[in-house]
Amino acid sequence: MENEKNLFQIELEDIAKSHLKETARWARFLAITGIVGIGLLVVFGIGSAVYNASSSTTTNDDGDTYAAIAGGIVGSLVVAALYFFPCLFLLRFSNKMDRALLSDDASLLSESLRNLKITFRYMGVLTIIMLGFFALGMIGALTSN
Amino acid sequence: MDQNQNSSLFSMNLDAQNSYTLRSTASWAKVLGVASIILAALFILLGIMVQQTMNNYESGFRTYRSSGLSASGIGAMGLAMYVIMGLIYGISGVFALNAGNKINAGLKTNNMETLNAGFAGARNFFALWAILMIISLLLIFIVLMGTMG
Repeated sequence: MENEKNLFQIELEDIAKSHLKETARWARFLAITGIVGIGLLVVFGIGSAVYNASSSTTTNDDGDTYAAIAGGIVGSLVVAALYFFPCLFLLRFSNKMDRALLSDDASLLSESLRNLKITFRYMGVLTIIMLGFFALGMIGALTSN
Repeated sequence: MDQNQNSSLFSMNLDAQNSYTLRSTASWAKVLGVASIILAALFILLGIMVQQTMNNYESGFRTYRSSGLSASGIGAMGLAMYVIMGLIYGISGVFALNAGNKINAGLKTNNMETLNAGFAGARNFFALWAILMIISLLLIFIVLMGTMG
């Protein structure tokens, strides 16, 4: 019975734990700076839109200005929403990994790895979408020439 | 009893569930790695295209020579920018691909050394992006100080 259990178990060595700990540290740094960056993006995005709106009312600009302002706000919110989730998953990964390594808790390790998987999946899908837009842009540029 | 307690205190096991999660994490890391490497190649290709396009406009830009800008200069700057972007994505893609491949191989063969190398690859991936983040923050700080001062 014990042998059967050991077949599906690999004991993590100290070096593996040390790599995981360092990974969690860098990931936490990235997640926190990312979340702060997203906050700043939203604040500056909305701030600049409000500033533009207040200056455009004094000069009696047309509706295009308001559309541009709304576009600016929506754009910054969309970018913020897109980058918020990988940061959140990365933060969860690092927090849970730290706790798992401290307490040698396999269930926390599992949850932590699940969050890392979600982060990689999210970033992978986002990169593929970016790749698609990039390829479309390049095809468009080539055909227009 | 004591020995059991000691071993549970100082060791952590990857059970079947953890192995499965780690394997799917590795697969997605590979996807990210391959996509990043393709993106890197496209960035470099785009840089070359921008440089060639700007070189074609050389005659039109002659009037702006007084400002110190030439079309070929702008094209070279564009190429350098896209090559840097391409290198960043390329290197991070290689790290992610390396991590994915080695974690998968380590789990398949139960080889701890390969698994460790995979974890090191994941660490390198996050360390690269974190260092780039630090550099970007420093650049933003320098620009802000420049505009204020």
